[in-house]
Amino acid sequence: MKIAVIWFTLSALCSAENAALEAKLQDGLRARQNGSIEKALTEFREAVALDPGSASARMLLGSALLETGKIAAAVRELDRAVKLAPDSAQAHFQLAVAQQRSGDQFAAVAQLRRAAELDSSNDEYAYQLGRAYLQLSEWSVDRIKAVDPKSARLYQVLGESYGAQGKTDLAIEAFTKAAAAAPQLSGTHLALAMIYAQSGRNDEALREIDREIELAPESAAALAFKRQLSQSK
Amino acid sequence: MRVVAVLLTLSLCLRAQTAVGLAEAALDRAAFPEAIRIAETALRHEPGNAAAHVLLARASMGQNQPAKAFAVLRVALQLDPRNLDALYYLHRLTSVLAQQEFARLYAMAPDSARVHQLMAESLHEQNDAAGEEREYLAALERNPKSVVILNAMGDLKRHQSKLEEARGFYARAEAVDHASFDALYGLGACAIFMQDNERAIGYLTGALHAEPESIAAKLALGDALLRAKQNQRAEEVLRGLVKSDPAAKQGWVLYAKALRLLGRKEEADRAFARYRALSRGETDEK
Repeated sequence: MKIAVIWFTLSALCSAENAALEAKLQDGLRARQNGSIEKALTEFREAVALDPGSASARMLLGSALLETGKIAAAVRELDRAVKLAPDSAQAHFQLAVAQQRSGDQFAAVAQLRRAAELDSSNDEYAYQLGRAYLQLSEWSVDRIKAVDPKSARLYQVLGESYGAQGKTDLAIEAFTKAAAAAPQLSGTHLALAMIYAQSGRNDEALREIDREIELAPESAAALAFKRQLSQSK
Repeated sequence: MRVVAVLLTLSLCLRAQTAVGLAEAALDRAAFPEAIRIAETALRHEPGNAAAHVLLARASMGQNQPAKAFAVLRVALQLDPRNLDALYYLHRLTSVLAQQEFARLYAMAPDSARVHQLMAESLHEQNDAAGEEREYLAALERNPKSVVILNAMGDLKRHQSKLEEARGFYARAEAVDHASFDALYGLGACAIFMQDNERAIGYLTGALHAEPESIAAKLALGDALLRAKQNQRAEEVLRGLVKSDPAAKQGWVLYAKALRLLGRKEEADRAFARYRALSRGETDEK
């Protein structure tokens, strides 16, 4: 998000602040627009010194710090901006961007969720929140791979992914490996049963659902699926 | 005294284990409120129990409380960063939440640049290059200065070997954001293919400045430097590459080439040996 855009969003917040502060912020913005990021940083720092309680000054300083790669300092400033203006969706959004750059995806999701709650009609916040969730999802899979590349959990992820893409044979192979890697893990045979049933292989589906029920005799999902299978037979 | 302490710890552990078992059974029965109650009770006795946190998160997911599930999984991973169950359920939860958020975006702004971009990305996954291009162009119509979309179009054209078109998109992205890694890398890669090595070196140096740890940029820059016969600088870049990623097979080949061109035969032989060992490893794995 460009600094100028933030400025327009914040103009309302600024209106009540003193003229000297506003002049500093304007100078900083002009410097930024002319490509003098260091001068912009100086102006924004002076603005913060003039009024440490100005959320807009801290937000502009944080964004400029982020642009110059000073991520930790940007997170600090933007965190202060959020505390000063907790109802500013833009402040939460900017903090999320800085937290993402610092690698703190969990914290970024929390801030993006707050921004999306505060401004639920903003399509960019919805997009960025969806993206952040997706990144965490991918990160989780990468971590599973790193911790144990032959774990049942990884094979389950693969099986689910192949299943969603309609790649039945690959999904069956992955779930079979999951069952072999962790024979006591419930859920795997249920997934296999569902895939077999979808491809019309009801006998194999029944075999798998019985295995699932052996592992989890009270499983509501497995018992319901077995009833469904038995009725369709 | 010590015996009492050990027995007490053992009893607490057993109690937590039993609670985890009970919560799991409740989850099986889809009795989510009961599972939540058991897991929360267990956590009051043993707040550091990652398994109980995972069960609480699963029960919260069952109760359609995604925010709570997310927060609880975060704690589970703080307690045990290698907990495979926590990672697995985090993957499942965030996949669903991402889809929900994108569905909300679609409902809110069905013809927005972001929605067309998402559709393009989805078509890319399905190897539908024509559909992908159509959607990216629709996205660009709505947001002509989107660096992400311009770079994506550049990548699409580059992979189709339409280098002039690719260069055009990357150049537009670079004009909007001079520090865009993807734009600079894309321009550099196009320049290598067009045998414009000097220009490639300039762009790839910029890309490396934007992302100093990028293996791809180091590899491409090393390649461009070798083509431009700047062997000394190529050796420096490629040495940095194999140091930061010792498994970079292609990096070892180019590094060996640079060393050989500098007349450092023994070091070149050792680098080739590393390349061959890595290749053998890959073959063995297959």
